[in-house]
Amino acid sequence: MATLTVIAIPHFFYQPLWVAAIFWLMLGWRVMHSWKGWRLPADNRALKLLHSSSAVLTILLVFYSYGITIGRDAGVALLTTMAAFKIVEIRSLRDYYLSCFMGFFLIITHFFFQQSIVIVLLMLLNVILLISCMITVNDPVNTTACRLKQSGVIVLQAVPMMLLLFILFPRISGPIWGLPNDAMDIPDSLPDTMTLGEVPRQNSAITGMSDNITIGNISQLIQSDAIAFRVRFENNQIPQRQHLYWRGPVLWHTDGKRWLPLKNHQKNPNPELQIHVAGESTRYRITLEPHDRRWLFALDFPTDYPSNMQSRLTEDGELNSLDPIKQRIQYRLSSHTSYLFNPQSDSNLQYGLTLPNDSHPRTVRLAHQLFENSKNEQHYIETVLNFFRTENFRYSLSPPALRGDTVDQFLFETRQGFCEHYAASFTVLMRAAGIPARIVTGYQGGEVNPVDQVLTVRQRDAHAWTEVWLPQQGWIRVDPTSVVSSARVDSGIQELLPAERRSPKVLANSDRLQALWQSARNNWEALNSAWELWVVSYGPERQLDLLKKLGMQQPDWQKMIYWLAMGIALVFIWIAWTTLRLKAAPQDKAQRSYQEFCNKLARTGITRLPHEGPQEFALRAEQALPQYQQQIATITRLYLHLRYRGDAVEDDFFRTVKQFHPHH
Amino acid sequence: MLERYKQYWHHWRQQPRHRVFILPSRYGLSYALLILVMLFGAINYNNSLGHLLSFLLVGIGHVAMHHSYRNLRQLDYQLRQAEPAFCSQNILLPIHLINQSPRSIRQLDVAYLPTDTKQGWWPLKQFSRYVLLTKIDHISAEQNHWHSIPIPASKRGWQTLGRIRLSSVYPVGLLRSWFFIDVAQRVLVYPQPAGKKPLPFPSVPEQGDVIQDQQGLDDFAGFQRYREGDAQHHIAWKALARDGVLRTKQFSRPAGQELMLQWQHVAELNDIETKLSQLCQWVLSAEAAGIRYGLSLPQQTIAAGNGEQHRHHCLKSLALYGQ
Repeated sequence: MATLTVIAIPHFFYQPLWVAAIFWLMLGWRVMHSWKGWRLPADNRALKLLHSSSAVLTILLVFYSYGITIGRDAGVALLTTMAAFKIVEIRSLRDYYLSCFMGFFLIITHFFFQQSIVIVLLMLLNVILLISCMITVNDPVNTTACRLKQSGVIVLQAVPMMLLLFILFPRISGPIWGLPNDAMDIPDSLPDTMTLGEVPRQNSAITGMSDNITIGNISQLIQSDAIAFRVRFENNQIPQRQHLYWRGPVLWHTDGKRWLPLKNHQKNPNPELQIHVAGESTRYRITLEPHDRRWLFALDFPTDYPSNMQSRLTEDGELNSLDPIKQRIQYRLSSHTSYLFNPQSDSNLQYGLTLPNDSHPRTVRLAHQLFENSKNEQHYIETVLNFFRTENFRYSLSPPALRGDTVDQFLFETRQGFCEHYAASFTVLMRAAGIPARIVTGYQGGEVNPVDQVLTVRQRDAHAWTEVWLPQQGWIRVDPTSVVSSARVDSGIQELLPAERRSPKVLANSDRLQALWQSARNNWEALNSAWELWVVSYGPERQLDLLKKLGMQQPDWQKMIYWLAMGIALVFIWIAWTTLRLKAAPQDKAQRSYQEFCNKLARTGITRLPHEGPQEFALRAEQALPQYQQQIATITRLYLHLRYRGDAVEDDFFRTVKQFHPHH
Repeated sequence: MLERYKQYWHHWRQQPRHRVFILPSRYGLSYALLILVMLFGAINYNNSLGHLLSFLLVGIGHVAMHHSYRNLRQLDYQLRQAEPAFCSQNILLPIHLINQSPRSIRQLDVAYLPTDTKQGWWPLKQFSRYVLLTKIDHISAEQNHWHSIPIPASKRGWQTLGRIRLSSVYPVGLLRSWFFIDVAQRVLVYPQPAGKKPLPFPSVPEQGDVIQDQQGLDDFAGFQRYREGDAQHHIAWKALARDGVLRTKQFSRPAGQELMLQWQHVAELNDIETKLSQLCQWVLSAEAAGIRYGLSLPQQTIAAGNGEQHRHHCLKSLALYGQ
């Protein structure tokens, strides 16, 4: 019972309150039964009725709150409450086993919510507890400690089989049947539109990157420490921070507030991209967390395609997978950080010039004014950046709300904002002056873990910047945010975050503690990333990869089954050997030492027979090896004294046994 | 090294030679189903940790199998001849259980398959016919354990003891391992002592006075050391309190006063079994009272006598009456 509670508790974090309430109610009932002798449903008709009717009500409640289809959340809620109802009416052995099995099921449901190392260790503990419950019902006379030990031994011995099956069991990529909609959490991802002017909502449940970026969405993302993807660079050659622009969705259309990507019919299915690269390419491997969209983030600018999936590069430089990313995937890419993108022509340039009619009048006026004062387009860009630099603009993660004409209000009144505001208003300024411009969203920076040299990009690294098109130069990246706040790009977003987001407040006073905290966190994260790579996302592809690395040529399921069978046979023999070992190591140190003495003699051919006592054996050994008579006699005497009189010194005995080396 | 393995081999050879069977129990089957469902779910949701847990449970099932097997593997036994018993009571089959392993043996179920049940065509059906007789909680490491298995005596006469099944679901109850003991013993089952009729009067052929004879019934003859089976009400409690030696009082009656238990005495009882039960009851009463008694059945007559041997002789002829 207690075990079931331990298993259920973590679920309450994801479940509505009433699930927990029912669970504790039922648990309380059972506890009161054992403590004060309250009646159980089985004792009384009315109570029985109450119990079963409330169970039915609960089922209805589950259907009411989750709908008819049993998805993940509904299933877990149902399971949790039913386990609670079962606790109250455990009577027979059957009920007992049923609750244990329900417990196992509750354990597996945890993995749909959380897959961290901690939760797995917790669940391993739960398995041990459940097994010990099952031992209890079969062996009520033993002590609890003994049962726990026994179940620990069983679970531990089960580990080799588990590993074997885990590695070699041929993996099928699911789903076998359709998944309910809530089958996975899309924790956070970029928004797909952008609207200027909304105040970011704090603590919204699912923040994310999406196709339409609403201003404010990205600052919501900045609240989130969830991991977007991890990057391992080949040869650990990590580019400089100001090159770490991770390209995502590109936004063109705007109504003055919202920014949207190209419409489907505007996209050219077979775009001809002119990419000219210079310098060395950067090769890297990205492990992308699922975000239920098609974007594959890539270091600006990707120059090849992932080999293990179908993907395409759109004409505005979005690398998209053909299918939405519903599970963690891994792909290799190479990028060049210095490049020319469509320097000759671009078919979408007209979209990069459109502004909504009659909006942003002050901004447009400013643009005309600045453009007239500039020598050329290049100079105009410099002028606008200078405008941001010299006027009183501030980088702020909690800017005031914008009403009315958002761009005008931002540029001339509030002047506080973050990347979205700067990117949007800069793009408007460019378009107003007749320079094609668009917004690129994605991530900027990331954090390098010194332990495993993996760059982790989190949702809080979400960023938006502008690309302008100049003849012969193509699309050039201009990041107006970096002008306002050079720290954002040079040292990453975390420098701009409040200190308590970086380390606990208690540690903030001492530099050494903070360094210690940082290194502990680095190690932990390296462990986590290895865990996620090798355990959590171990699937059909990773399996083939690993087996190839282990030297299996062209692994297929037949070979896997073959090796699996071999492995199982080995594990079988090993466990049979450990469990059936005829002579367990004696508990007593003296006895063990004496056994060593007997083994030494056995090697010379004098084996102690089962019926022989130490003295008889010594006599026989002395006759066979007269040259060791002295030693054998001493050892035997010490042993007998130690065992039966307790007046010999243990260490003497151990030493003499150690020094005893009989030869013929 | 080789010597050590020789030693292992030697030990192995000394292992009990019975064959241990193992099959999943009802809960084991549902456990397998549970694993299948979990694995299916894990595959469907592409949940790697779900795989991990399912495989851990597979491993646990596998390890449980070895543990369950080990629990019985090194259990040896010796049987002794069971003593005769009365019908509808229990035959106590003495069994010497020897734990040869360095670990405790736990939770043995002793079940019995009566010989008269018919063999079904479905082999597993056989298991449900086994009747659980007793449980043995614990045999410590390298210890011996004497146990009496109570087997119900169903019918008077010779009862051939069938198979005994020693089984255990320890440790987790998912698998049942067992081995059979073919008892191959014939045990005599006396009729059930029953009936309310009083002991008939002793009849002495030559002399007439019955009442006088009966007085002699309680003539105290002396003490004798207590032997198993002596009537409790004859124990000399006072003497026990005095010197701590358990004795029984012996009674005798003048020679020639004998009680012949005759078939005619029970003539009015209409059923043979009832008659035999009544006679059996009388034999026991007479033996307890210390009367010399004999038995006269239609085909057999046993001269009057006394004592354990005589009692057995009489009861045996009652048990085998008509067989």
